[in-house]
Amino acid sequence: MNFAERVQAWKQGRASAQDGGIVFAPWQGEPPVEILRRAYRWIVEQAIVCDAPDLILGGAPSTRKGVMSAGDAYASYVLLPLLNLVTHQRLLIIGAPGRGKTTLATLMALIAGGELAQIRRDTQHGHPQLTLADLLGSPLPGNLVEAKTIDEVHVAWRGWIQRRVKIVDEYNRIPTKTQSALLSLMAEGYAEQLGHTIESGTSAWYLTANDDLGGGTFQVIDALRDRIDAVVRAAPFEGGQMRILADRIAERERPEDLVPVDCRLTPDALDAADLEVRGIAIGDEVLRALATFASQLEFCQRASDQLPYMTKDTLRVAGRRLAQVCNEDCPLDKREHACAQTEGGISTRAHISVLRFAQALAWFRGRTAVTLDDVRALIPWVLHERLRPNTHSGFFSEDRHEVLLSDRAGWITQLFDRALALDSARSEERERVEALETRMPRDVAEARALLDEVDAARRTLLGSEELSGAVREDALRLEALHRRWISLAEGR
Amino acid sequence: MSSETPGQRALRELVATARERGRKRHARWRPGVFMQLAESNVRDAWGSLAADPRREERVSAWLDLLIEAMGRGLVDEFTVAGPGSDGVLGLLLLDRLPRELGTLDAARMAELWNLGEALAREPKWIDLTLAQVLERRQTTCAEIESVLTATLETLHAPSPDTAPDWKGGDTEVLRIERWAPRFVPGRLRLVRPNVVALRDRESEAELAVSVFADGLTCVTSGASLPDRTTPTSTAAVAFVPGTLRIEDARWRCEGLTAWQHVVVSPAGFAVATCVDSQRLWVARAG
Repeated sequence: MNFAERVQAWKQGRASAQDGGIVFAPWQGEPPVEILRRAYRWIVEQAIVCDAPDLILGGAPSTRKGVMSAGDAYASYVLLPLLNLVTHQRLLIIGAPGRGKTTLATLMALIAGGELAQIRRDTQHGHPQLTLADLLGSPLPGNLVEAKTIDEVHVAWRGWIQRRVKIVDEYNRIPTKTQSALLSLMAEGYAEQLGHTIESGTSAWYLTANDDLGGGTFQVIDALRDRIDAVVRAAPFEGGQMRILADRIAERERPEDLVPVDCRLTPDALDAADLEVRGIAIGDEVLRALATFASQLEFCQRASDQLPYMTKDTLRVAGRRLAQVCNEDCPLDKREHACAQTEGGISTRAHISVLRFAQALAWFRGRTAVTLDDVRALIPWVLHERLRPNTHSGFFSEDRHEVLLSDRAGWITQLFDRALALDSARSEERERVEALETRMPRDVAEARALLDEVDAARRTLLGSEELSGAVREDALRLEALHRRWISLAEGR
Repeated sequence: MSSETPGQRALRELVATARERGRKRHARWRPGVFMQLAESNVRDAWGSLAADPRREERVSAWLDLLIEAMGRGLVDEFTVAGPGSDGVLGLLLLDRLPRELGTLDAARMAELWNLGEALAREPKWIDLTLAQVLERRQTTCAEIESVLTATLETLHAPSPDTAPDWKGGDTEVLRIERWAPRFVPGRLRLVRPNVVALRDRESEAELAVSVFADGLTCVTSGASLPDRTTPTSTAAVAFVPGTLRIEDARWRCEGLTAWQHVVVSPAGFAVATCVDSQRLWVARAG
């Protein structure tokens, strides 16, 4: 090895002289996750200043009765928007006026490499007079006059449609018709005007609302609401922020003016991060927990006499509400079973959102696989706008549970814990079903023997246990097993 | 402010501009550490260049480097307290550059930065050893490339083809507590012909002991030392209290009462440890 040559080569690096000063090329090869972690710390310590962690992993949140226990802890208000940047989903920021919702969304666009003036031009401000042309663009008047056919009309699309970070401020003030156009853009990734379409490309969406329960000018259409992958609440103002506020007044500064260069991600880095996040493993334990949670929330014994239709979706399609059937005629203990607490279940889209954010969280924490802790920490924010409490449930009539009607995140966490506890209480029955699922009969005789066991297990299950969401799920799995092997058992 | 001289005002404005630049560029910007530097090292350097017509340009370029180093977490309050303890880059930025600022232009400072940053990516023990060599040899900025080259050649040198001529004499006694107060020398292993890994008796910690032919011995953290070892010398080693014998040659080892471990290098030196002692004895061939 020639060390003299090596030393000479080392002198050519990032630093170079320019106009008497020294400039530095960007640091090559720095993992995007490091930049995002730095951005997180900068925002909570210097920009929004809200280091009151409420997203706790492996510990418990701070309560009146005690301090939080050890574990990773993050401010969901900052972390989820950052994770949204690399998962390219749709995030709603809710909170009272003046809490920094738009500022936070703007910071995200800056971290994604945007320029402040451009971001401001691209931000869509919801108001009752917002038209399709305002939102999407329109033909230039001259072109419209000269065009002989609709194909000759050239739509001047609004630039924001193809930005990587899209900000829609006060989305619940947008008129219903314009909301539908927004829905196409958010859900399908394209916009349409006068027979012309434009693709929105890879996008991370940030919507803001003062509240999402009627404070807006217009009711948000359900389909649009369901497209929102996660929700964060604006951080409360903490007394410790006063000094920073005073300094900012003195310096005439806003956080948007101060995003450090080393907190910014290039489009390539965002793409690389997206790939890395998709590579984070999701183990069976996590999928099992999500499945059992969903099956318990979806279940309603009183919706039908048939097992497959014992769901809240059956009720919804029939135009009935849970409170109308979740009464003393249902033998389940309403204080114990999660099904009694929610008006509806969880959509497939919601499951995808949970998994995408959980992968991103595990990646952010430097893990190679999603853990149950990741899912538990995120699930309140993904389901925040998707789960509605059944306020008539006996569960909420208990004094100690009443507070959960206002603390939706706390309520959903409790719901998740309860569902998993119920599931683990009947782990033996569950393992029996799983053992049957792993059997592979090799001939007719073995298939018949297995079918006998499956039928016996189903009879035992439905005969000895009260019919809950978890029992229904196992019964349906046994029915599926029966269908799988019946042809072989009957020699067909 | 009215009693401020033009020079003081120029420095204040330079520091304020640099501070603003640092804050805009780096999330990990530490205004406190920067001001600590500005009010000591930077002010002293500024004062020492009073007669230099290019003073502002030189100090401004140096501040560019300090800003980058702080932003990347390479300089913090600990580095400021003890330059050199954290590698070549820290030593250059906080010791050599301000001392020789009058002879350096921005292009040379950029080269030195690049050298330091490249070495920060090398195994930690190498960066630390190089920093210690530069510091102890009082290397100037003009000599840095040649000293680094020579030092790297020693650290990576292969075993010599011929056996050393062991002559005997006095040993060098190193007090390990100077570098690691709680370190109790234990096992020794030769990781390179001129580098010995010294293991702590109470933990997994290791120190790197680099022995140079001209009598310099450096002790640094052994972080990232290679696991593999290199063959030791086959010379016959014997010990009586106070004396180490290699082949027919003898070395006086004051205080070496109960020999614990010894490693003999084909490069022509031996290192010995003593039970319950923080001292290290280095015997050179001659």
